[in-house]
Amino acid sequence: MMPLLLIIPLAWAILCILLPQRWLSLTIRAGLLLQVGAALLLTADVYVNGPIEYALGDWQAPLGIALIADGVSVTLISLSAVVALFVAFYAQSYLQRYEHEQTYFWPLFWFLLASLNGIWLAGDLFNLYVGLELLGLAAVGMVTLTGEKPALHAALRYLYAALLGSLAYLAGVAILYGAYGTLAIPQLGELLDANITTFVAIGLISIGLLLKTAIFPFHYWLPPAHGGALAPVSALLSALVVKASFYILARVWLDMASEINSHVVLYSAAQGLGVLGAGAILWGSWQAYKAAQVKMLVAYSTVAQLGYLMLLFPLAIGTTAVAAGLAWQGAMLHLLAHGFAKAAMFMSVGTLVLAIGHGKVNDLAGVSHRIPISLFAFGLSAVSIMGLPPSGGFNAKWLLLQSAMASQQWWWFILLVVGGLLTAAYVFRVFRISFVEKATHEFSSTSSTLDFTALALAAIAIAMGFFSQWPLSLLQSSGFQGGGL
Amino acid sequence: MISFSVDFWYAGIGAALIALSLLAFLLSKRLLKKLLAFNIMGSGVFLMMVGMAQTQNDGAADAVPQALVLTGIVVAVSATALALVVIRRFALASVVAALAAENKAAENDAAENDAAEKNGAERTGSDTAVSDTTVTDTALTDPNLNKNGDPQ
Repeated sequence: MMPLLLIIPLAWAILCILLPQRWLSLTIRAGLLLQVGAALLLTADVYVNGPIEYALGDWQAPLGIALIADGVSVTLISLSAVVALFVAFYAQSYLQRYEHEQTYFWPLFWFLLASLNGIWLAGDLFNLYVGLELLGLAAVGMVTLTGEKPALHAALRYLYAALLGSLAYLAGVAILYGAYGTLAIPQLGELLDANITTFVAIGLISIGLLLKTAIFPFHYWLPPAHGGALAPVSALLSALVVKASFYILARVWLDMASEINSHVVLYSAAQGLGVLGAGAILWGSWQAYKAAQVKMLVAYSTVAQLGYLMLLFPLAIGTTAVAAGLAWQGAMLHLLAHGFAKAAMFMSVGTLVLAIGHGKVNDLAGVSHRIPISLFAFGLSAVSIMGLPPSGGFNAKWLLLQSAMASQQWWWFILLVVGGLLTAAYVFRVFRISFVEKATHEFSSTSSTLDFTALALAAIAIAMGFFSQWPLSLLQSSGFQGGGL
Repeated sequence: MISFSVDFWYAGIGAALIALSLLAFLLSKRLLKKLLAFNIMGSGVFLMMVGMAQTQNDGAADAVPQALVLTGIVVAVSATALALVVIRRFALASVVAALAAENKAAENDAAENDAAEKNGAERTGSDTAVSDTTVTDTALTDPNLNKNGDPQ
């Protein structure tokens, strides 16, 4: 099942280039269903039998490529398969207005999915690097789709940040290989010594990944790239792409360096990562509150929400096993809930923008009458993003709060509460205007597919409030669990 | 522990290349120069990777870092190709945008001065020709890249 998750998207990327336009729609749908099916089968397999390893082409490591599926990987594979499914249905309808962009969107979409699956399944640091680079190239390609000057400018910024980030990461990997002679994460976990070489390597890897995850103050490239792209592209970038580099960061700190991460240097660095997260939450929320364009508001919201993920490190490193376990569950649940909710948010906002013709927040008046379902989808996803019950976002923040209490780090507790209030501030700015009855605008009609695909994803984010146990038990059943659960 | 072998010098020169090109990458505002700096930085990382790995192995060649570097080169070439295409498109879009703005300004000018039709057209033409090169030049630099909190 594991190689299929790479073969299907790669094959479909090529099919989408080769096949004539009129066959595309059906082919894409078939590919999506296969993809989701393969993801679910693999998830079931791992849930029943535990982690699975697979050597591609029967070439063994170190020269061959080893794939590892554990509880964490399959959770993320399912996340990307489901998000991609709804985004693709949305895109089929949305892109009808963008004839030219459509021909390039689909191959890039499948390449993006292939590199995401490659990252979730990679078992060693170098294949993570290759996955990251492919992901970055596909994502940059998607940002350039409209070919307009601002989009190209944003894409270049994104590309340069991504390239610099991956070289920093690769330099760290080179040092680790030079010192320990292996790149497999489990083996490195046993070998790592707490010495200056290791610290430099982990430092370089972390800086590279922070740059790619757009963690404050390296977030400068994200808002124009995510805010300026086409709606389905923004949804994929915010929901999935930035999570990939965070996932690697978590693997490096909590899996590879789990034996040595309570050393004073790494412990302090972990607190530093938390401070960056705090900066992201405060600065991102403030910028979202000030944003004039509604898509920029959502993009800055991504900057802020990524900050919560960073709290994993101070809460899980050097604390008690209980606090670390809660932090780990909270961060992963936040990653999932934000993935569904932010995709829904970008999709619903994309529909609103399509209907009023441009994206100024202040011109959303009358939206509640004319496009109620998309606004409802936006509302549901906002509930999860704000962390109101019942939603996946609420459960995630609740777990993080409990972890902050268990580890007696009250400052993160305050940050979590303040962050929730700030989120409410920028979200309600949209609501206040959209519920004004009198429309200041002409509305063009939009397809109901756009409404309902966004609504479905938002509903999943809410449903996670009731069914959090499923992903959590899957996460616990196998794989790496922060801080030695 | 580290012996000053040939391999050590490979790794050392690699590190020096990384430092120099990082400086160029961060300080330069020209998009092409940044891309060149990225390529040199890549070579630096590859040298370091091969050099550091060989110091472990007492002279016997280690195949793994060579395979890694080969893959790394392919990735770097693809990234460079993509960057070149986007830079080219960005430069073209900038020229088009600047020309459109200038034509508009020239039209306004002509209307204001109430000049003869032929006269106005001539001036627009010559303005465009002169500005073409300067616009391309500015298009290839990107002042905003360093504004909003450049990394490091």
